[in-house]
This record gives sequence, structure tokens and C-alpha cells, in this order.
Amino acid sequence: MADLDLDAMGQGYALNKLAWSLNRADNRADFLADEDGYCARYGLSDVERAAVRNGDKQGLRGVGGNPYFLAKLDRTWRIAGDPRRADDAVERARLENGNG
Amino acid sequence: MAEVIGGLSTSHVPMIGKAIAAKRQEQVSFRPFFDGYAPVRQWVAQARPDIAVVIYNDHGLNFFLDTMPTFALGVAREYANADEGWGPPVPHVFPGAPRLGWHIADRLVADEFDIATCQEMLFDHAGATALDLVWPDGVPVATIPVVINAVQPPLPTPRRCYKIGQAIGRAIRAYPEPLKVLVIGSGGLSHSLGQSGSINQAYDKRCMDQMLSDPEALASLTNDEIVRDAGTQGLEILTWIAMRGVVAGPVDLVASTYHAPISHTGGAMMLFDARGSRTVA
Repeated sequence: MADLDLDAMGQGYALNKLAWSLNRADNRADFLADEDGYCARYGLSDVERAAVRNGDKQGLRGVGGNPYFLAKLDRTWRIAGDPRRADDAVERARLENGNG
Repeated sequence: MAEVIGGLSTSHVPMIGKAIAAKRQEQVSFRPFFDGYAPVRQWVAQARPDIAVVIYNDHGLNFFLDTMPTFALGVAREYANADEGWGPPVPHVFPGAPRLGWHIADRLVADEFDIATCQEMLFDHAGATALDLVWPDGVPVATIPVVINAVQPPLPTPRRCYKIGQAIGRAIRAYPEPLKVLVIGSGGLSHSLGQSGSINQAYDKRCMDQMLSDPEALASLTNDEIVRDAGTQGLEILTWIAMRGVVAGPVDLVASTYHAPISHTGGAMMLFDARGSRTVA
């Protein structure tokens, strides 16, 4: 593969672990009920927590989120109709208007 | 001795599994993909494999980043599927084939392939969807999952995947019972996921041609080339390449189908009959 960015490897571990936990329905419910508390329990760094709060995919990847695990976070928000699921303004507006 | 009677490569896009679960194969826009499976079902009904070795990539179900094997071999007595974040799937419990599995593990390690063995593991939709496509009314075979890491770089090379496939094929053919083994490679083909690439039909068709008649060309690709041409998730073709290594040598093409898009993916299937070939790889 293209040379690994050795300093970036392993970034986002806590974020990815949180996302992996969303395989379980009970965890998805707990996360949606209190995202900040859930993030704290998984020991997310300030940067990771900000990325979750913001929710955009590029930002989450940028802090080391792995797409295989982020897909579960994405899905959790999508099922909840959360506007952060939207990648662009049009879909965001659609979800905010309750059409998602 | 055991025999690899055939090889199947298939896409496993979740939309496929959903359509099967809802019995909507004839209603969905990608119905031609399902229709393409008719000759596959006819072939397995006639060839009657005993065991399916299912090569796939886990999607963050069974393996996490804490411990991520490059290659993992299932030696469990059975495998269940589970929620992958999309809600509980149609539940499956697939019987395993631990005796052959341990034999393969032993031969692989002796052959200098370093694998993880799994006596307990959850079966990802990637593998389950492939089995459901072949046997939509219930899976009658025992299974051995072989999981290739596509989650955490560094990923194995296409060459390495082809070689481990060849080694699995040698191991199967050295197993002293007359079992008929179908090997399945599940993944691909080109993916369009946001900024991660776009469906590339020319690339997909070329890969399918090479799967049949020039697998060396696929084994010679680099992962960077695959990502460039097929998107990041296009790396799932590693499972196809490994499958092709297992069947080895010249094969007869029984069926193939290609339909794009299925979700964001080029949906493809190929079935090879290996019974005319008595090669030793």
C-alpha cells in the first residue's frame, strides 16, 4: 500500500471502539440517550468528542475513525433521523424537516 | 481424498441480503443479479458439495482493532450471525467442519502461512449473504469461514491472498476423506462510497475475465492499484483472488452475472466448475 502514516496509525482507537459497541441494540439506545456520557465512558479525547458532536464523515475519518466502524455510528444516527447523518446540506435539510 | 469441486465468487452488498430476507428478489431493481443465480442453484443441486469454505472480509463484527488477524480460519463446531449495527439479522446457525478446519490449519502453518484459528466466531453478513444466495431455502452444507483483514492496514497483498488460497487448496486435496468442497469468495466488486471511488464497469469486467483465464494478473495487482480503480472497498476482491487460488488451474465457467449498481457497488458473480481439472498447485 501507499506508505503508512506511522504517526497517524492507531489514532481514533477510542472512537472506533465506541462505534464497534454500536453492534448491540442496547448500546445504540444508550448512546442516543446520552451521547456525551457515552463518549466519556469510552474515554474519547476532546478531539474525538468534537468530531462526534459535529458528526460529519470527513471529520470523523480525520480523527482516525475507521470506515467499517464509523458505518455503525452512521447507521445509528440514520435510524434516529439525526441530521448529522447528512453529508450535504440538502440531505441535512431533508432530515431536519422530518423526511429522512 | 477431499476435492475442491468448484469455486463461487459473489458480491455481498447488504441490499442483497435484505431482498432475500424480505423475499423481494423479483421486485428489486437489481433482479437480474438474482436471476443470474438460477444456474448456480442447479449446479449445486447436481454437484452436491458437502462443505463450503467461505472466504470473506469481516465488517467490524467479529474482530476489533484490539486484535486483528491478517488471516483467520474458523475451526468452530458452529457459527451464528449477529447484529452488525443494522438490527438483528435473520438468524442463522451454520454448522462448522472442525475436523477439516483443523487439518487445513495444520497444513497452512506447516506451509509457512501464519494464521489465527478461531474456535468461536460470529459469521459476518459477507459470508452469510453468499450462502443465502446459493441456498435461499436453507443452507445444507457445513462451513469453514476464512476471514481476510480488510479493516486495518496493512492489508495482505493480492499475491499473498492468492498464495494462501493455493495452500488451502493443497490442504483440502490432502484431506483423507472423499468430501466435496465448494469454495466461495465473497466481496466486491468496485464500490462508489462518497469520496472512496466509483463503480468502474470496465475494471469489473476485466477482473471477471482475469478470474477465469488469467488469475496471475489479479495476483500481480497492488492494493494501491485496486483502490485507485475500484475504490477502497474494492479491496474486497482479495477474497475473490484467494478463492481462485483454492480452485487452482484451468476451470470451466458455469455461470456469471454482473449488475451495476447494487447500492453503490458493481454486483457480480462467477461460478467455476473445477471437476475437470486434476491439477496440483
